[in-house]
Amino acid sequence: MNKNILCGLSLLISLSLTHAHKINILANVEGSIVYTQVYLSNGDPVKNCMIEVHDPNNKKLLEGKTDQNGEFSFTVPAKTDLKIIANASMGHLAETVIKASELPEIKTVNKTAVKTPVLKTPVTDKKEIDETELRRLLSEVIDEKLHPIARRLSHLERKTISATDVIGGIGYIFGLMGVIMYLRSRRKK
Amino acid sequence: MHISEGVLAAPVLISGVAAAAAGCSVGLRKMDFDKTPRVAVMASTFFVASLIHVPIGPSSIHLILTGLVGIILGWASFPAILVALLLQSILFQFGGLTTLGVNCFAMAFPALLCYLIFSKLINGKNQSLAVIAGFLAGFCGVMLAVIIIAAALAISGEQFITVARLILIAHLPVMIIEGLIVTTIVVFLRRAKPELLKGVV
Repeated sequence: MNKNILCGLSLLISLSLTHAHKINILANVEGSIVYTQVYLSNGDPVKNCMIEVHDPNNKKLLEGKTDQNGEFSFTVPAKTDLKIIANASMGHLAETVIKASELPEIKTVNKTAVKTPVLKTPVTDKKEIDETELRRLLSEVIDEKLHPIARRLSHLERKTISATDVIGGIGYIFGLMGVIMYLRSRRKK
Repeated sequence: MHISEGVLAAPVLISGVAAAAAGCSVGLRKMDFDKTPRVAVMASTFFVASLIHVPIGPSSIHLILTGLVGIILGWASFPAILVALLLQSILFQFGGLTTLGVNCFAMAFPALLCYLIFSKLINGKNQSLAVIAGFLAGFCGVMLAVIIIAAALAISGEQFITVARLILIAHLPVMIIEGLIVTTIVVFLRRAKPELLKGVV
């Protein structure tokens, strides 16, 4: 019974996809986290879209699904070229590649340490904070501050259809017609 | 209705290209080049149609207009749809260059079938039969395209029945809308310019 309901739900979700021609995927790296977003050509998010991350040898590193905003994020699994594939089934597929050079060095920082707020670190004497710790904290804060800006930028990067493309396309078709008719009129003479 | 790159298996892509090439060569041979403007107008119509979104329910759907292209162009639907799809894939990244053959066949072949099956009735004396044939041409144009696309996906690994049913249900409103569009155009053209409904031959 529950299975049926689930099936029905997933049907409804995938139904909304069939109306699109194309899905797009954008990925950007912030710190050690890769943010991906999947969207349709009109800018709407693609929910519950399968995401797979592969290395250059096509080995699957991880997989997941986009959330309600069409977003999916993961921590960098390895410092290699990452191929991110979004598959919304029924003929809709998009992929993007993040070059190894865009990725940060993988540091084995344990997660609880990362979460520790700045204030709780014992700042008894400023000289005692070692340089690496300071770098880490700074980069964390900067990442946090830059996150909204990175978001805005990636929204601007989105490819949507512009009126120029549409009019240009019609122009091409009529240009082609002109060429055909010109060649024909020459042959008739 | 456009299959993206990287989804289909190589044999499907190759046979798609072959089928589209065959259709186009027959289409170009049968086409009366003095009627090129008509083909260009229909190619642009098809090119723009997929950008027209009709909001229905929570989501919106887009027109395809295979039936309309078919009954007006006949065999010339193949070259017209090929050009339109090529431009859509270059300018909008709909579909893709490798899937161009499959996509072209999936939409031009139904157009041609609609022409072969319904053209006689649409041009016939009986007005009500022409209206019904017009509706069916619009309706079947989309339906056949959906079936071909589902088959292409099925050969490449997805479950045919589930996929076909899904895409059919999703496109049911499009089928009805296109049926009504073609009916309106047929009724109008029968009165105003009946020679437009005879195909470009």
